[in-house]
Parts: sequence; structure tokens; C-alpha cells
Amino acid sequence: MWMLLDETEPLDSRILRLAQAGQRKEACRLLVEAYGAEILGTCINRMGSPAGGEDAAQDTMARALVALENYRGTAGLRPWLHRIAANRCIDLLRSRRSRLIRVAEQVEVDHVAAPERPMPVEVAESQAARGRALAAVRDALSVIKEPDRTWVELHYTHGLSYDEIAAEADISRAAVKQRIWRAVKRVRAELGDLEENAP
Amino acid sequence: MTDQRRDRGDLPADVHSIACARWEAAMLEGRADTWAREHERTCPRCGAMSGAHARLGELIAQATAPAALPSGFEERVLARAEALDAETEAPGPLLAETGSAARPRSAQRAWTLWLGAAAMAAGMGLAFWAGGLRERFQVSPEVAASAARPAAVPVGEAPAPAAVPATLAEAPPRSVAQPTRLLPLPAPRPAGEALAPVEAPVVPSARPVPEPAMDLPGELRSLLVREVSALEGCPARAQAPVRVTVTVGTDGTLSNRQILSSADASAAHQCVGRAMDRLLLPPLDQAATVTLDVSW
Repeated sequence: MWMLLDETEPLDSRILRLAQAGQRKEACRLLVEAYGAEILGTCINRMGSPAGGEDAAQDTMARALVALENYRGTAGLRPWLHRIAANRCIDLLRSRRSRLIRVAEQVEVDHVAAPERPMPVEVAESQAARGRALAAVRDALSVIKEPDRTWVELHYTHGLSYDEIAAEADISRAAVKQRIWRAVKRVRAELGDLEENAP
Repeated sequence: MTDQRRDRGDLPADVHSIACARWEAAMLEGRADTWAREHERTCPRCGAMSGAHARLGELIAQATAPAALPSGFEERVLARAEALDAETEAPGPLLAETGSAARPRSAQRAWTLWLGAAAMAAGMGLAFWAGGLRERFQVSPEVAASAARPAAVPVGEAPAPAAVPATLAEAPPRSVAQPTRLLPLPAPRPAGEALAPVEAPVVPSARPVPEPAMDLPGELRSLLVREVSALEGCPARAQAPVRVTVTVGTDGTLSNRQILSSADASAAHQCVGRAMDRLLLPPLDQAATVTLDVSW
């Protein structure tokens, strides 16, 4: 079945319309194109390994795709997807806790692009310091409880306003801002003076 | 008095002034009003804190940045969505069990089944054992003695034959009365009273307990291994199992013998043949053809 695509139509609405019209393949393509990378990044950080993160991200997107057919939410898809991702990661980590071997160094290495040619020592040291700082931030973020952690990421990483988060969470803007502020303060406390020396 | 002048070192480390505390409270409550913004601009401590938060925000953004999608990601998402659909369409408890909880629950179900099966087997074993005991102790000694005595009859009448076997030796072997019940003890009799005829207790017909099934291939295998080990010139270990198909007759004879083995196990092959020649089996209820692998 062919459907007319309105290019000016907001992406979320288009994805929803396609999913609810039974055009799952096309809806999946748009969904992955729009949100796949950020959901994958979130899942990798939460799961602690690229393989685990990819598994969680696939599961998140698949569940979202199935649920979209009956989706009645009014807020955008991004916060909703991040909420699913956070819940899936918590579930998967809980079920794999006994056998999960978190190799923080591995994650760190994966996030730093391999140099094409030998780099000067000071550049290499700077990159390694940056990698360490980012890994420390990820670790510090892991102490923040849900949904605050998701909100912090949505606000700082994906640029969602307090109003957008508040609309999705169905609480007041002031409450969202307060909780994000507290969460960041907690991250600062966890990091100690690392941020002062951050590159 | 400006905020800077109030920013003294004699105040607690976390709160430098009432204005700073008020600013922080405003931030915590999500109130970024004109006063708070003005204080942030003029107070070095709160300005630094706000800047630190902003820098941390940048670090958070870098640390949780999107990742490059691997190839085939979209196809795998679609395939997983199809699998979720199939799971949802499946009848029964699967409908409600998606995600990580499904595995532990099914494992729990399996455990429950195993426990149930074990409990059932234990119960059956106990029932069998108790049945055997009851069979053994069904007839109390007093009752058996009274049954062994000639039935008391009024003078002049012929004694009735005892209907209950006096001892277990007389009872049919390996049988259980169905249903079983304890026989009543005779009431004490006043002296001199004429004896009433004893009613023969009704004992329902006994149902034979089936013989336990014999593991004929297992028995045959152990007999053959024993015979082979007693034979001279046989290898200490068979290189490969020797497959034997044989019909065991009701008289215990072995017929239709077929022995199969790999080429490098010919010595073992011959040994199994010789062992079968020497084998003596007890008679069976019915003939059976069995196939078994013999190895030692």
C-alpha cells in the first residue's frame, strides 16, 4: 500500500502514522534513522559494553515499534524511547548481574577512535585523560536513579527542554528542573575535583 | 552590602551567604527568576557553581553521546519485533511474559515441575513401601491365631473351614488385598457362654502386583561384559562398542544373533560372539528381540 508522505509533517507524527497504518518496515527505518544512534549510545553506556548495549538497543527499538501501533502518548517519541531504553537496560542488567563482566577499560577504548598514525605523546596523554574523564562521568551517572538519569541525559545530551521532559513525565517544569539540578549536583559530588581538571 | 562582601571565609563551606543559599534553593526548586540570575552574575561563588554545572553538562553530553549504528541494525530490530509479535500471539502465559522476566519465570516453572515430579515419585514410593508393610502386617497375631483355631461352633455342628489364611505363608505371593482393611480383634468372651459361629470375614479378591519390568538389554549387556572379561584372549578394552541384536526366547535361548562392529574392533566382535555362546539366560515370560551396544 502506498501512502502520500508529507515532507513537512513532523517526524514523530510520520513514524506514528506509518506504524499505525501497518507499514512497519518504513516506520522502523525512520525510527532507527532518527533515534537509533542515541538509543544505542545510551544503552552502551548503561550496559557497560558495546555488545550488551546493542542488544538492549535492538530490544528497545523493537518493543517501541510494536507498541507504536497502539501508542496514544501526546509527548514526543524521544523521551518515551529513552524511558523504554532505561527500563530495558535495568531489566537486562538485573538478569545478567551474576554473569556480567563489566570491563570499563574496554568501553573506554571503544569510545576513543584509534589514531591513524602515531600521535605525539602529549596528544595521546590528553586523549587518554579525556577518555578517563568521560568514563568517570559515566560511572558517576550510574549512581543517579531513574528517571532522573534519563532526564539528565535528555536535557544535556539531547537538548530537550524542561518543558518537554515535564510534558512526557506528566509533572511540573519546576519539579523536573529541581531533580535535574540535584542529579547533576550528585554527579559533581561523585566526581570530586575531576571536572576542574577536565580537558 | 553586596554578595561579594558577604562571601567570607567564616561561613560554612557549602553556604557562603544567605543570598547564595537562597540562590541554590532557587536552582533546586527550578526558579531561575530575575533575582537569581542577577545573583549568579554578581556572586563569584554561585557564578562558578553555575559554570561548573554547565561544564559538567558538556561532559555528560560527551559521555553519553550517540553511537554509530552497526550495519544490519534496522533488519535486526525488525526481526526482533516480528519475534515479539509471535510471542504475544502465542496462547497461555507467554502472553504476559515478555522480556527478562520470562526466563526466570520459565526456569521457575521448570523447577516447580521437577519438584512436583520428584514429590510424586517419592509419594508413590512411600505408598508402595507402606502397601508392602501393610501387606506384611495386615493380619495381627491375635487374629491370625483365632483364624488358625477351628471356628467356634455350637456343639454338634461341623466346624466351618477357615476363610482367612492363618499365616502369610498361605496367602498368595506378591498380592495385595484390595481394598485393604484391618481385621477386627475378637471381643473378650464371658466364661461358659456358647460360642457363636464366627462369620468368615469378607476378603476381596486379591489383585496381583505386576512384576517389575526387567531391563533386558541392560541385563544382557552386563552379562556379556562379565563373560567377555572371563574369556581368554579378549582385549582389555573394546576400541569401539559392538552392536548386538538378538532374540531371547521364552526358554532363555538366544536366536537371530546379529553382531556388528567397526573394522578395528574385530577382536571385540569375536569375543562378544564367544560370550554369547556361553551365555545362559533364565526363562522369560515372553520372547523379546533386543539391540544393545556392548563396550568395556
